[in-house]
Amino acid sequence: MSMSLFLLIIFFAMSMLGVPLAVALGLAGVATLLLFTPMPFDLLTQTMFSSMNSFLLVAVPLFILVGAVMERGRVAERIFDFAEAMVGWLPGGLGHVNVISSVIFSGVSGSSVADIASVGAIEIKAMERHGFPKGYAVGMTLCTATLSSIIPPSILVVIAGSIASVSIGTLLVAGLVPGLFIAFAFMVFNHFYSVHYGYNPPSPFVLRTVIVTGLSAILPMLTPVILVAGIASGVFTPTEAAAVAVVYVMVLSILVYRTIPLAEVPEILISTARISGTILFIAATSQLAAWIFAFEGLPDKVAVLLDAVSVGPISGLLVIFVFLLIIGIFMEAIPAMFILIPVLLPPALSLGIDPMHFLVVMVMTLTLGLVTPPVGVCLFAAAQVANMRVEDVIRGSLAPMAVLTLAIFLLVLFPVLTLGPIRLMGLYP
Amino acid sequence: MRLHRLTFGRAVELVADGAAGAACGGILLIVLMQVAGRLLGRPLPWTEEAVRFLFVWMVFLGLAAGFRTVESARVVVFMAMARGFFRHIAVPIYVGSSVLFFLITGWTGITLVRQQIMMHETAATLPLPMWTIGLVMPVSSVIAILAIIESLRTRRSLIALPEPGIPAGELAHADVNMTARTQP
Repeated sequence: MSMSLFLLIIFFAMSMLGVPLAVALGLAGVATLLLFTPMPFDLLTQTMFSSMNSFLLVAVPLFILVGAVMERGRVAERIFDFAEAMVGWLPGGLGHVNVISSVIFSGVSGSSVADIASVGAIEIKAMERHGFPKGYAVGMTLCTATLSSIIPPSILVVIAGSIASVSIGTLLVAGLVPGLFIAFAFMVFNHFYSVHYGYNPPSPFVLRTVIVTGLSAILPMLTPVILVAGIASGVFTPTEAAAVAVVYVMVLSILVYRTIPLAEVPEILISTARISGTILFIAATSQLAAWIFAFEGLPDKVAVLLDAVSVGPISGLLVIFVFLLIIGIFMEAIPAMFILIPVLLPPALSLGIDPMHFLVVMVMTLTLGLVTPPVGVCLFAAAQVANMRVEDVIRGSLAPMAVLTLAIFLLVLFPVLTLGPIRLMGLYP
Repeated sequence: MRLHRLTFGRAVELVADGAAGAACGGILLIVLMQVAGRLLGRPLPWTEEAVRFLFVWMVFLGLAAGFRTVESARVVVFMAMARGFFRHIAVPIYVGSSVLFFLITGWTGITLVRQQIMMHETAATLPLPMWTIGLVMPVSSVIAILAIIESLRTRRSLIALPEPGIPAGELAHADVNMTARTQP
């Protein structure tokens, strides 16, 4: 039996028994090493240690810290009010407000579940109040929350860039236009849906409200501007930009809005360290699996297979897209990225697929797993926030989920949406 | 007896969470010093290495702390559906596999530290022997095992039977820390 296959079988068997994924991967790696190679199992610790001795990954806890401070700083209401003033007057207004709030909150938090837990709860109540069916309100909230996974400062994008060893700054900026494109797709869908069913007819546009709510929300909304502008202009590395953003959001929450007492800061740091350790645990143990895959030449075998079933970069990426759609249903995005990027990226490059385009598509496709059972944490979060049965949330989400899938499919077909902006900005050759 | 138990739990929390949180604060501070140094035209070459080393300590202590609160990502759907025998073995499987893993990393971690001492490995810019960084492997393994014991005492139900949905207090960042205690 192939060593990679053996490793995967042991890993999946242990995972199904409820063993922590990182532990399952580490133990499967050790068992494979002992049975198939002459290498000592000390390799586990060595690969774990060296994989974490990386400056690139330092951005991860800092981005988590930015999101944690903003989430506890209770900026969701300010963002929602501003979004409502901006687009609430359109036909199907509250549906558009839902999308725009999520776009703005994405630029602040970087976490989809944080979106649902904070701004999502307000969105659902407001949409219901304006006559939208609860299922539709929850479905839209659930699917628009995935924008946090791609719009900077997405933590998933930082992790994907670190695994693939590409410029994290460029990759973060590369996610912006695809994120906005998906948001636009949601708005188009919401427009036709709302007009068809007569939900939330147009109301007058009030410029004064836009200005007042805009001024109230402008300070938190500057966070993504600091991040993206700092990185794109070359003033900061992504890690440095995240650290500067942490200071900015701390000043906002502690001194300006006074929503976080100073005494709460140590607890936020501890929580960030624990979340980072938990996320990066799988990064550490997946290194041994990646070493075994490379030792056996699995990426080359996948390249041959991909070459056989595809005729060019786009069809190759479509095959990968379908594969990731299936994987995303069963495995969460972060472990899937750590296991699959080392296996899929080299074959994708040999097919002529651009690495930035590949990574953006991969992150977005795996993000679909956040909204589908059985491992969709966003799905369960939405059900909890809305106090609905999971089955009802799924039913309400089918149409927005189809829109999301179609939008990602279009992103696969049109690499220019990802690569055009970063080339225009001179960030990418 | 109760006092002793509380002390044990508090000690594990202080060592794992406290040290990891301090490392996180240290990373933030040093990255800011790096930015300030560069913008002021006085770059501090040691900062990158210091950040990397603090990061290594933070990650491994953080993952150990995650076991105290049963936060490590796992697929619980199948166990949640299981009945009878499989439900009964959920806790022994979780604890047994995790402890075995950390025994391996603890043991091989000691080997790593011994190698670093024997080879006289030192950091490139900081006056630090590398074993002070490698030491995190056995140290975090021991803390993780203690954290698993503590979680068995205080959060056994979370290990045995995941709650439907995500506890309200843990919603934020559940997609990135993957506390997917979910069932269909």
